[in-house]
Amino acid sequence: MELRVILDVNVWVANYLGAVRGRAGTTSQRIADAVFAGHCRLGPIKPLISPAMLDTLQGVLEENGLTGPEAEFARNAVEATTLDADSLHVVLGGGVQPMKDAEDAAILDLALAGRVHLLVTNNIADFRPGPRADIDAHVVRLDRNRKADVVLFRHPSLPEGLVITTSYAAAAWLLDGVRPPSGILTAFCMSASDADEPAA
Amino acid sequence: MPGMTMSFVADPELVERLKEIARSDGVSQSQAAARAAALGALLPSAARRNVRLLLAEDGTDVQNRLAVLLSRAVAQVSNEMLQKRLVERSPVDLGPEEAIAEEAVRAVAKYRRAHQEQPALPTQVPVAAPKGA
Repeated sequence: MELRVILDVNVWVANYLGAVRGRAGTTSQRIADAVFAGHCRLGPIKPLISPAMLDTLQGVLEENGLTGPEAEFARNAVEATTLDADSLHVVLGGGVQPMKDAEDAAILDLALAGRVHLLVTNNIADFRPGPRADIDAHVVRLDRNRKADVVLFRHPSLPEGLVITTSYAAAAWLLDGVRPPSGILTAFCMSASDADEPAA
Repeated sequence: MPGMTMSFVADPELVERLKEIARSDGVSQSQAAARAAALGALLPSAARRNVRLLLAEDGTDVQNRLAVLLSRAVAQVSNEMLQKRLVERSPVDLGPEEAIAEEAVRAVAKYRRAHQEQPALPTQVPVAAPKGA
């Protein structure tokens, strides 16, 4: 089973902004590398991204150290990771989730349409249940600052819910072998454990 | 770019596809054909021999799978090339990486605010108040 993932635009931006700052191997870059490679410790990864997110990515990169052709090249690279026959759906309308930010609402709609398992963001504040996000979600875990860093968004079309988390938590699970909290991405953790078992 | 002319015989389906690519990419049909040929010519002989058999396979499942994997490979190498180019021309920032992630969040928010202030098209959903407003 493939892990269907959305990287928020700010994670893709941080991937390239890290390079603009002369850095390699930052958390956002490591996650992006795994998405480009198409696999992680939990198995194959299938990324999804909407045309609106791609527009934002290209626009932000143009304003932050990349030339126009470089920003377009980055956009095309990211888009090419998603070119899979059954992921080529466009979410029309969008923004029906009760979120303060219309583009964040559209990301949730994309997650629903694409039956996404995991949304990774550098700005989880936008998705914590509260005034900004009046959504059916509950906090799974708090970070050391007592702020939510793992949120489970529930919706009838997502039987296991959508896990929303930070790039740091996602890197720990997807790349470093740290187990997610109990009840999170369980199916993938089981298959990863099976793969680690020596052959009988 | 100076080049040489080469003609070839192709099945009508491929010709239609090349015409479609030329239209969507804004290049001539011969440029579209030359680029496609250049990608195939990169492959070593064993892979080229199998490509011939894969393209002859009935049905589209095999070809779709090939397209997905090729597309992913192009994406991965593109990202590596761009990252390398950006790193090479940039002084290393030794600050905490969290600062880069936060800068990315601010840059996206600033971009969205600037674009939300533009008049909405009739088909767009109502736009929420910008963050921090």
